[in-house]
Amino acid sequence: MSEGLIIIVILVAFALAFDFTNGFHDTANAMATSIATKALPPRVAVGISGALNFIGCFLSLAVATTIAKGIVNTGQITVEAVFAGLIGAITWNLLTWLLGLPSSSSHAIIGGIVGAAIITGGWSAVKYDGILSKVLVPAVASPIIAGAAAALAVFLAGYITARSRPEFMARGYRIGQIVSASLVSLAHGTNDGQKTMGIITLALIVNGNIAAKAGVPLWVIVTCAASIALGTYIGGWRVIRTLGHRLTSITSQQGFSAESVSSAVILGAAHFGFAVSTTQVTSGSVMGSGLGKGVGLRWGVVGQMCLAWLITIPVAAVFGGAATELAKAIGGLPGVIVTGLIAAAVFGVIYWAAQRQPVTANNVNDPEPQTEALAASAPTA
Amino acid sequence: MTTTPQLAALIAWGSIGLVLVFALITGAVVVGAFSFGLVGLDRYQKARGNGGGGSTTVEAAAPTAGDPRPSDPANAQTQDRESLAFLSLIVAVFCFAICVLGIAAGLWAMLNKVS
Repeated sequence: MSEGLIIIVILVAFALAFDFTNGFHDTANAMATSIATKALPPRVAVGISGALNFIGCFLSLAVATTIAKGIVNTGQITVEAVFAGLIGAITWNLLTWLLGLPSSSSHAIIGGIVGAAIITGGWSAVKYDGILSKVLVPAVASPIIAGAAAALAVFLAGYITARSRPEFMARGYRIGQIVSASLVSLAHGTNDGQKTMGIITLALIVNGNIAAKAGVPLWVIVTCAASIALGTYIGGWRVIRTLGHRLTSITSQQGFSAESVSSAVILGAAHFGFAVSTTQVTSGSVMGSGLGKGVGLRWGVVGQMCLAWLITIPVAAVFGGAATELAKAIGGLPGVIVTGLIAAAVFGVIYWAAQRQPVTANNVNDPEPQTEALAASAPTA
Repeated sequence: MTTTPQLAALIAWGSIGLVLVFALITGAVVVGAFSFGLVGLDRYQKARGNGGGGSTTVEAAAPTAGDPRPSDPANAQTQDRESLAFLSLIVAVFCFAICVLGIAAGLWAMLNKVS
């Protein structure tokens, strides 16, 4: 087996690991509100979401073959740089999971590759205009759009159902939540599954394993779909708890409205060619649903989340850059292997730290006193 | 250095505006329709439950030839409840149909996205 092929095998393993953390981290986007309102039992919710993510990967193959197209000079991207970028992204995903903070996996991989590109090709390797227009503007606009639309939707739903039986309405909205959350899961599979497929396909093209104009190989589609589905099924319970219980108090009406608006924004943005992060859209919707209902938000948690969004790219870039530097310093295949082993050790430490205070399907819905106090003090809650 | 006009040119205001309008309209229409649908079902159930339910009520409410009390208030009330139940059901079905169309539109957008 040639050195290049071994590096590709390692890269594919890390790409699938990134895909796993992507699903793992983003389960909350689709299912946090359904789990919080008990529309679905936690294990059933992640099972449905995992299955729909898997199906979503096969629905559309409009794959972006270069994840960082328009953001870095792709001519300076090597297989080693993509590998280092993946390490940066996985590290950031695991750290934010440990802290229970929803953050964008797409921004993490972009940050990782930007860091690797800077080490490889200098500061001029980065297209700052592209970062502004393709990352920063959507990052600011999408949660605001989703929040405004969710606030309006919740207000409207509250007005329409004001004179109906609350228990009947709650049951109806819980059924609606299952459908709307399923749509978000499906959309997540079509969007995020393809990003990893694009990374692996690009690496295979660069290494000469497949022709430049070849489509995505079937084994890539199947392994990426399985990886994101497995990650989703394992469930990032810490992030689910934050979105479902720590941001605001959620009723089934809010959950349904938030998920419906999230679907509309994600699918609308994809259709109009405006790149948005699923995480930021769903977080914005949940916040908007709290404001629309008059329940209010826990601004401390909102602040932590916004800070995480703000530093995702720079921190992932630092991780990606450090990994590139290390791999370059050692050089060749040994550099990739040593960097990979060190990264795996870091991932293990983060996982170990998380196990000291585990959040699982069994305690994800435990009461959150500060959020309950917020709901109790709200005039319309 | 990027100047303000250059900065403005980099921001896809058109796409942002389209997504905002789409989200506001779709969110309001789908959530509104689903809510009206639930209200319709709730009214339907209430009307059926309060009216004693079933076809017996309809038969009892139907005027018969030679009925000495065509304007019996109890019968008229039952008829009103049946009409309300039917109307509520129609509203619910119509509203849920709008939601199904919304889901279909979402699936279509998913399969026809800009790459």
